[in-house]
Amino acid sequence: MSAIEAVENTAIDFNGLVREHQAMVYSVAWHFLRDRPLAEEVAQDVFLSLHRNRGSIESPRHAAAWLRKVAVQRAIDAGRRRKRLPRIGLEEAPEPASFDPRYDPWLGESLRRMVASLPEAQRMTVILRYQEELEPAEIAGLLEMPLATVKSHLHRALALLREKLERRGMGER
Amino acid sequence: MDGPDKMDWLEEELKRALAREMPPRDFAAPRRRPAWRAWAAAAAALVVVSAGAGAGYRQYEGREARRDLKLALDIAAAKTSRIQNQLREFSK
Repeated sequence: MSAIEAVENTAIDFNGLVREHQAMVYSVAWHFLRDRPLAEEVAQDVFLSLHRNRGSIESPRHAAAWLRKVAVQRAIDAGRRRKRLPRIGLEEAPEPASFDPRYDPWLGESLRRMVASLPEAQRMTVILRYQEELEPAEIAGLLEMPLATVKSHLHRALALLREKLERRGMGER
Repeated sequence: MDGPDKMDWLEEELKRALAREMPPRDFAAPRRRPAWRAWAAAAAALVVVSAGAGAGYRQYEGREARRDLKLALDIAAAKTSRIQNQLREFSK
């Protein structure tokens, strides 16, 4: 049964959960893997798991936390299974919704690529911190690692990104 | 990270760059179809998939090209805006 068929055959709450959380689940996978078809596959797989485990979901809040955790695990697994390097190309740039004069699309795209090139643990920590806006303690709980390790990953990742940007003449503005 | 609440320019840029995106396909989009029609559709899809593969790939390429163009235009617009601001500063 595909994720879509699963959605069709289940209660309206499940549809609501999919609608509410599909951007979160897909974006965790997309920012981590930088491969849209693979990220879509991961997202479908996560919702299929939700459907299979729907009996154990106690509340919408529990569902959100469950989906985030499973999305993180599946994205990491997919990244490990993938033997080749992440396919990072200009063609994978997202479509900005509208022109924002404060937003530099070149810097944004450079940052997304740099994040995708970070080591696995740093990359997921950065995604959870800046995409999901989780506090370091929440990230520590989700990734099952000590708080100090999360802080160290964030610190190192930011230092690395800053250094790369400055080397490219895209430092503080 | 200078503190628990204070975010510097890089962290703000990361928040913007890593904003959530909708998947290309809405997983919750309703597709009402009886089971027997699903089998029929699968059989029909099998027949047309080889013929349609080429066209599908061309469509995919078209979407990717549009995405490239959109990003190029956004970058050009941002650069033009920055140059205009600099010119305005010079002419003051």
